[in-house]
Amino acid sequence: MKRLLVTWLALVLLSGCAAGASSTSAPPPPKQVTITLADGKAEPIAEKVELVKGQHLVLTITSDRADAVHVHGFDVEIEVKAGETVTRDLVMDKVGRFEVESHEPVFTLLQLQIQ
Amino acid sequence: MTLLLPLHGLGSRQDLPLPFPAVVGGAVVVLLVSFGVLAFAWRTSRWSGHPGGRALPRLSRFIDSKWTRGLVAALGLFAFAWVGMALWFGQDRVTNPVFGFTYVWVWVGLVPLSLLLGPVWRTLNPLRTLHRGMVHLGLPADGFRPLSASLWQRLGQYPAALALIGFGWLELVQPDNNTLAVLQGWWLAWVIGCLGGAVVFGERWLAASDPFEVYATTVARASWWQRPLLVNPLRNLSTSTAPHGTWAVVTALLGITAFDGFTGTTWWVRTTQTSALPGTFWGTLGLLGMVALVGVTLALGARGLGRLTGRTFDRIAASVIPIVIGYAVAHYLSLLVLEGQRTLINLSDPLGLGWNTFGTAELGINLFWLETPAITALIQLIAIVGGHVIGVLVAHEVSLTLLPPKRRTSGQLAMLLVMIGYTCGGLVLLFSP
Repeated sequence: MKRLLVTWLALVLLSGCAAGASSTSAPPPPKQVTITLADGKAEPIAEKVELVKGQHLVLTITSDRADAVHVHGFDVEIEVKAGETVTRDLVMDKVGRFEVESHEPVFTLLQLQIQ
Repeated sequence: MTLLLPLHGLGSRQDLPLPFPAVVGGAVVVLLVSFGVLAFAWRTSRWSGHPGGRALPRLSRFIDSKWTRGLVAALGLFAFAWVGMALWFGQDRVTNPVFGFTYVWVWVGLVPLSLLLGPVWRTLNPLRTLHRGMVHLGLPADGFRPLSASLWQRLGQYPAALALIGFGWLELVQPDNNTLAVLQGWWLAWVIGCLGGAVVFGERWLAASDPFEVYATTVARASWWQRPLLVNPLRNLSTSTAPHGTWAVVTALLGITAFDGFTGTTWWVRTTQTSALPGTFWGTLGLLGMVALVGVTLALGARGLGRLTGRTFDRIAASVIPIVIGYAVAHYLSLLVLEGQRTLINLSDPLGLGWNTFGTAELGINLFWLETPAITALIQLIAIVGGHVIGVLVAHEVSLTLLPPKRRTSGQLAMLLVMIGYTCGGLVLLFSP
């Protein structure tokens, strides 16, 4: 456990250094976003979420139907079963604009803007 | 159950919105330059319709040689045949290179290619090569039902403008455009519509109807290289013959790219996704609406130059070509860099069997400047504003050849305002409100 922690810290420091002087400070605390899929609708729709590279995004998804939420650009697909809540912690390690979509039916839930 | 993973990975990353100060700064420069040109640029036609240019005989001889042309044509034919194999026998996943090849290498790549190398697409075009082959085997070059010169004249590039809108619809509206079945249908339509038409009506049909060739030759008018001449692109745009229907091609291209930016706005996503009507309906309406908006505004701008004839309209529309190129670079350069490399990797394994035909399968993706948003923003700004500046200068020169001396300033105003509208609209779309 301790070893893991040390490795993690080393990695964070390394990536911080690699990213240059402007981002030597640690990324801000994780961003929590709640997604609700109910009655064939979705909440939120096209919400802009501003993040900093390296920041964590914690998605909490509740659905009344079996569905999958796709985080574009990160090749992450989060499956939810009907009536369940799923939480997923993702590291936002890319720069750009990425959409988070539900599939049944297709909704653009979030627009991640990672600086 | 395995994850459905790379089902729609293509274009999964977009650029960050252009920062607001960049939008304002760009708009200020655009206004200053536009009215600066109107007030202080040359007052009588500078080139009076002559394209000019410097001949480069040795380079031209090399480029025109049978071997060079044959090699380029063979390369084009091979690339399309290779990808055609992936289209018909490959796997229906985004790792199939046909998707990246169609939407990125061809649709986006032909812009820098034509800008740098001039009208090379005509030589590269596999449909032309196939047609030439058929003529070699005895097909009449003018087709089985040759059209009259006046009909060709009237057709102009209008069929291609329609085909471009069709491709724009496939790229931006068609919900399953990343599946093989849909792409097979469109490829078939392209080959039958363009090559089949050329068999019936003659080779000239390709120049009238092939959306990729017409897009490429339109962009190539802004190139330094007009075989066999090295030219001033500004001068070439304002003096070279504008094919009939240029205005429709330019309208389609600008409308498609603008609509692509528009679909990324929060307003569009919210409105269409909370509506009871299907997204395809809104997409079709939005695409056609945007093309119509460009067409109507372009006509209003051109109207200032006098009675709106087809010839006037086509000539002045050439001044929008640099704006079209600026839009394309600003919207798609990152896509070309990222997905272009991914396509190169996938091309080694067209059937998903683990091949490494060209030795590219193991390559990594170089992100270049894509992790530095400031550089992307700067490139976008330079492309949009640069395209505008060149466009305004071309419009100025074309106007001077069309307008009587006493209306030479007032007559240009409408077109200038329209171009400012396109450019500032482009900046706002990149800001992605």
